[in-house]
Amino acid sequence: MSEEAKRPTSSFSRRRFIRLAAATAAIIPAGGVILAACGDATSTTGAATTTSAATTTGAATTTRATATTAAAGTTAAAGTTAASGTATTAAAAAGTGVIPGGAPGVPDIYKALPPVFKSTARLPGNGKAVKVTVFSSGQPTVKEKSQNKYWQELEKRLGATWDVTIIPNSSYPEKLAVLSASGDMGDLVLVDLNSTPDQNKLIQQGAYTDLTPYVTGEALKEFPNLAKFAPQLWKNSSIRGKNYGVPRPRFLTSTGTLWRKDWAEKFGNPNPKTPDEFFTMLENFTNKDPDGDGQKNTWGLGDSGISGTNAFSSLAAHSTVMGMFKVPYPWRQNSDGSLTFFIETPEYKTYLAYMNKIWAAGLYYPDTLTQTGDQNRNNFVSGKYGGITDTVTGIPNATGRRAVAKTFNPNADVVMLPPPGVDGSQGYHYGGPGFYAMAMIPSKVGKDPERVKELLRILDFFAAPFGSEEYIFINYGIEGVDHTKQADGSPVVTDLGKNEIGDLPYIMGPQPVLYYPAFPDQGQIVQDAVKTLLSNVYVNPALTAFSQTWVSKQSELTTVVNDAANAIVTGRQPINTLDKLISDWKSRGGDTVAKEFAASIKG
Amino acid sequence: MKQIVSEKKSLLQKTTPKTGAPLWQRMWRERWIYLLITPGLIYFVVFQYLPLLGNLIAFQDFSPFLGFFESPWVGLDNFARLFSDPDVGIAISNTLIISLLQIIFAFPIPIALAIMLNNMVSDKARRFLQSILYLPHFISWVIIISIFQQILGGDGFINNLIRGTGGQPLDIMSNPDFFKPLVVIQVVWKDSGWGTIIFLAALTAIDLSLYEAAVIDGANKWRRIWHITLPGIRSTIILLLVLRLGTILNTGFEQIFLQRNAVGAQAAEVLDTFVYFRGVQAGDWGFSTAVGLVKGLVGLILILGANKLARKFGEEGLF
Repeated sequence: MSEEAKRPTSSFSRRRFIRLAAATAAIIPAGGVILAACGDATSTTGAATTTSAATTTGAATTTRATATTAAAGTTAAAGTTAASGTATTAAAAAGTGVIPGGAPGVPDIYKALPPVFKSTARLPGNGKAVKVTVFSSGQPTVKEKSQNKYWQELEKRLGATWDVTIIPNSSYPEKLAVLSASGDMGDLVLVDLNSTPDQNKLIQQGAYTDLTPYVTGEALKEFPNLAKFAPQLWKNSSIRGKNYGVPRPRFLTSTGTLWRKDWAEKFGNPNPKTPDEFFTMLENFTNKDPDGDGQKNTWGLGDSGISGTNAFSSLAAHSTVMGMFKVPYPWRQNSDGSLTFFIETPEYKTYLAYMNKIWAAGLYYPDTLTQTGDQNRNNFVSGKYGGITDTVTGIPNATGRRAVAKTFNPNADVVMLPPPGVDGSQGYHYGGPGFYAMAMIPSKVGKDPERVKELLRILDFFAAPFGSEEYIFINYGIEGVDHTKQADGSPVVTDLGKNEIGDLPYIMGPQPVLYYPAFPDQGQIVQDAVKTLLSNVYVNPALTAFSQTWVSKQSELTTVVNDAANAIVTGRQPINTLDKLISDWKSRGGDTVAKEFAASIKG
Repeated sequence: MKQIVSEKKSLLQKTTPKTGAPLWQRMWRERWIYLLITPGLIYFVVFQYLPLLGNLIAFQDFSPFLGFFESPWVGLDNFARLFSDPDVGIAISNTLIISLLQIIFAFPIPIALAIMLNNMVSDKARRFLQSILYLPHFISWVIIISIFQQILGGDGFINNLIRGTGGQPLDIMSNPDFFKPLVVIQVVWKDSGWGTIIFLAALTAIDLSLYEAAVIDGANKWRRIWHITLPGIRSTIILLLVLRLGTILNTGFEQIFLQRNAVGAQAAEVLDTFVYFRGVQAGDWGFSTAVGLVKGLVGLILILGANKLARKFGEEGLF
């Protein structure tokens, strides 16, 4: 289960939305980048790709090329020349079992592992101990170091003692607070500012090292794999123009609706395109027995109401329905530069009325507000409802919704619903920032520049791109112990491997690609989903803006919006209480937040 | 009374004639006793009294990074924020209502249960029943709420029965009007069995010959309960009631938090959830501590008041 799926649905923050306007966005070079780095590939054929010998860290590196496509006018960090057009990569064009994304931000599909190459030049560590704190991604608890061959081998390859503390997601905020109070935060800390917004305060107080001098300009070239991250990623993860952490790259999409296409096909309309069609389909799901068991035990939509901290609930901000009515979420920039919060717009009122209609008609799973995320996912895959708010990464792999739903019903066809729109055109998708959580270095450690560089080299090791020797070791462990090779050469992690690898390498990773050897159809489904969602993205104007009031009031303001919106959608309160919510929001600090964000955008 | 005290004094003087010796001498004489109580004393100082100093951060804009000594002092700002918050009124009134409902309905049930268990003839059956009654106490709230959801929820057993017969589903778990009674029922189900332990212990202390005498005098079962059992455990009941009053501002967090979403803040915001959303989630430790301090103070006042009242009515009270 991917961490994106665990992330609160519909959460937002200033960094969660990426500018994707074609002219301004630098494009994350989908996985294909890496292949170009492979020396054996004929890495010069891609029309849109420029492959340059970016031997960034000296002659010793075997990373021969860093092909990055970027929109015109933006220079990629790795020093490649910008090229307009698609993200087609050299290797993709060379036809080595790769299906290129073909559009900005759309990941490539790999049918097989590319030829192995080495992506780092030297031993990253200096032999010292590195203390790491990460939250759990839900992997099994790892075996002790003395009985863990993977861990031992990892330390050998890192050149450092790797002391990892893995904390359950739910107690992470408290643990971080205790760590910082103790004065010993270790060397590397994984922080997701969306779920631990109080860390923003600590950043402002100087608890973490400002990495800007290390990860911008020429200095970044010392870390070839980090240099492959899209420049936009560094920008989106910056706070007031400074980089306090190394972002962990992810897809540019956020949540949409995972959809039982097989149900919808029964009623002759697999992709409802308008609010009316969508509503009719939810009615069919609820009243016309889509699972054919003769009982009235299905619903249209379901979600979890116990979302993570600081997140808007699925009823308050259902990403698909909001996108359908083109709500400018979370901010709209007016012509005079001021910002309007989404709840103040007429689009949001329309949204609430529509959601209330769905709820009143009994099309929403009635226990939505009290069920947990796990219950919600279980109910969806077992066929209780036809739609669930989730990310594209919730689809693939053996533990993904698609494969698990098929264990309940072989005909289940779980895909991402192409966003319906109010006028029949495609609805908005509220894109993500392209990363999830950052690896940060406490300021105490950061006083020694050599130590910072060492730690960044270690992160660089974990960011080894797909297909590299390091990547295969990091993700699949030791052959014969942690994984076995299938006939086609694809590695399969053994049960032992699952318990040895766990979340040990969770601190950092490369740009993800689509490689699901055990499920040949999943790559295409995810790629299509990303492509569709990214074709109409709403750009949050305050994505990289900063507001001190928002940092301190986010929790309170989010709760106020959730409570009022939940009450309106479920019919406890009439829709005109929205006016009270808006004035409440403003007087409790929302006005100040809007002004601060607007001022921050002006710079 | 005075006479008794002076008598006691003279007795003491007789048995320990060196009371007049200096303190350190007396302490030295009892050194082994002092040595024995030291571990307990250290425990209380380190884990109970020193942490009390932490309450000082209620007067700070505390940041774990800056620590206690560097964090800025803000005077009574955190308290001012608590009492000027537009939602705190609802949180306090919900807290009090839920607490009072629990005292009225959930508090007497373990007493009745304990008396019933005590009156069972078969020892084996009683032990068996006791074990079953204790069990729910060890189930976490998450599970208990799930069980209630499975039975009463919109997709629960009852509503699925109704839906199967073509009826209109009932709105129970997400109905704000039912929320408070449901919370009390859940507490009764979870903790009544556990609550019997102390009462059962108190019941065994009642002299059995009293019952025998009453039977001979022709008292029926109810008379015996009313005139022997209940007076026999009266001091225990009052003791627990006084303690319960001290925690009147605590309703428990998890149980309410898990169900708050379904019914909304108006019905379900209590002080514990209020602090969670305002303080803990935002990393506002100063504010959270300020609320905790207020709760503690109110609890202390209530305990002292209730204790005084109890003594006034001739009970022993807590102290």
